[in-house]
Amino acid sequence: MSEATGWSGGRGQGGSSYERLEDVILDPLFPEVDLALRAGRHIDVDEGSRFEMLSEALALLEPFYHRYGWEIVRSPAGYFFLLPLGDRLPRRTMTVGEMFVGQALALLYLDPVTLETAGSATRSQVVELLQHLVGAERLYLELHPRRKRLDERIAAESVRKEIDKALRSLQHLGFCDLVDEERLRLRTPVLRFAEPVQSMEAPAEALARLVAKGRAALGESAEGDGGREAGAADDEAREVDA
Amino acid sequence: MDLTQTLSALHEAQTSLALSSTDLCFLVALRARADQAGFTAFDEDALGDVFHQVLLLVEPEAESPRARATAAIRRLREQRLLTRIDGAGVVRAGEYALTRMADSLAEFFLQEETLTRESLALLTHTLTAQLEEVRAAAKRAKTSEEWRQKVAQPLRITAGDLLGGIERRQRGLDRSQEQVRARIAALLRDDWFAAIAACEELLEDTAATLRELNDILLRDAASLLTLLQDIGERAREAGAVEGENASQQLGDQVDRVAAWGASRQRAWSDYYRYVQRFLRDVVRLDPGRALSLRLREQLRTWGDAPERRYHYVCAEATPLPLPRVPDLRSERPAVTRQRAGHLPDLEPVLAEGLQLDQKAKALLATRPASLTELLRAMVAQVPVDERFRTVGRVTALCGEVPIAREHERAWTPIGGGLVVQDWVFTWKKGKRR
Repeated sequence: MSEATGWSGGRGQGGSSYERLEDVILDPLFPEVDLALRAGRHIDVDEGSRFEMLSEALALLEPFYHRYGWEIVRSPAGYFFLLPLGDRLPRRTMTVGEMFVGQALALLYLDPVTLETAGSATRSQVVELLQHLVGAERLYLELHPRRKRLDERIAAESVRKEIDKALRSLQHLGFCDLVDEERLRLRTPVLRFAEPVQSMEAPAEALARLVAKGRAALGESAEGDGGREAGAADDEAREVDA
Repeated sequence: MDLTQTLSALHEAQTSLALSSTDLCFLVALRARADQAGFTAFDEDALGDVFHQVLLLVEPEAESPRARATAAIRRLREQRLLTRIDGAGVVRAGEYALTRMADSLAEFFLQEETLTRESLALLTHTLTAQLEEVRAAAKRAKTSEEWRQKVAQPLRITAGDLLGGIERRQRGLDRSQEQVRARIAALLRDDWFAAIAACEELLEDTAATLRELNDILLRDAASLLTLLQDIGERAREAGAVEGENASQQLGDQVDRVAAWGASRQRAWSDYYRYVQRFLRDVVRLDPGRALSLRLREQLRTWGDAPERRYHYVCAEATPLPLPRVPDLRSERPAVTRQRAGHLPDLEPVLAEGLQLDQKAKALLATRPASLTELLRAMVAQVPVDERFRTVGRVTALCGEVPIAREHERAWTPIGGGLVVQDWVFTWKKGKRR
């Protein structure tokens, strides 16, 4: 369901070039957009024609994906993603590393200093920010759930590796672009990580709303499996203490 | 200029620059003094004065300023930033001038010339007039000397310097844009919502400047290139290689200058869009800048309690199974012991070998005096192409025969073109093997 305000959508209604669903599916761009969405990618305005296509075809694609048990979400911040609601098709929850790094990227995105470089940040900035806010020891233990205490000899290197792994994964999901070994470019979808605190309501209530909508799941992520779920397995986890 | 040679020479000579902050201030102060007073050179007293003033400003508590001035002058001379121009050696106090390198360094810090619509229009207008004069000269040129003096040199020096001036100002504008970016970030950091109008104004001003510059460059570059092409063609027809090369080089420089305009306008356009989106989606929607604070707190406490440990859900494509033919080549057979009864049939050659062994053993039973004697008897019984192998096989049978210990064994022919190092057998008397 579109969350954008004032968007008319639909072919022929809002100046869209698509009249019927068939037109959308026959568009040469459709296969790559469809595959990207099914792979969990968040598509924003920087993706140009992909974003335009989704904007124009949203009204037709909503019922199409709904039949699979998916919701195509258009965020007010200006990006699309596919949200699996049922158990027909696979879905996954983000790992602890992805959650930490994603929130750090969102913070960097909101920082005017990043504006100077038009959204460029460095991996070192991400590491420093996380260590500063979360604490080096807690960050290490969260990223290495099987370890019971901090091993200072290897901590910095292994934290860096976990962060790199999370960044690669977030790149595939459309949250950032890895420019080289150090630099990365932040993209608008990182604002998804700020969703629970975006409105003035209490963060717990906002989170409960997100969980109720199936956008987030409470509890541990299945890290070993990359957070992959069978679908209904996390239904229990979605229930929130109101 | 051969760049490779230049770089090699620089590296070989270990050329480097090492300027302290005070040295740099001294250099800039010299250049400023030269500009103000119209000096083309400095005597040693003037150099000392300038250094002393610099020292009072940047290191007021420094000791022995005269000695330090002497050392600073020496360092600048060693690094070819200051040159002695009187040529009097140690006979009298010298006169010094700043080198071109020192001039450029000082100029960088003193005056940041940036490209403006006025300066660009003036420069391109002057350049066009200059090129028209050169084209007229090219029409009149008859001799190679005329081509060199009236065409090639004006192109290289006058027109080249004008274009160099545009490029220098372009770099100045690049730096100015960096400053604008930093200023926008600083405005937002300090005033956030209140800075929106100022940020938009800065964005618009720079965008307008770049648009104007690009328009001028696009318009004037075309006419400049036409003029240069005309000059180049005339030079080619006249066989004036120097003039042709100069017009070609200048044409490349004009292309570069024009490409700068398009590239900077594109880059600024991207930045402009990014900032506008940031102002719209972040600053305007969060005038109190509460989002960053709340997000910071969320990140700090994420996962420290079960109700704060959540994970976002996203789609995941099922990887398609990809059937493939197993690579049999990679399956190596396991090492196993051969079962009895499955040995391969003996080949005839083995039977022949056994016969040979029997003959050799029979001969050995006769107690030959040496290996040579035994081998001579054996090789005489086999075809020529079998002799070499026979020698090896028979010699192997002599392993248990007592052999005399000799310091040096003789090489002895055994017939058929073969030569062996001999063994003398030491049979025990009366005992048959």
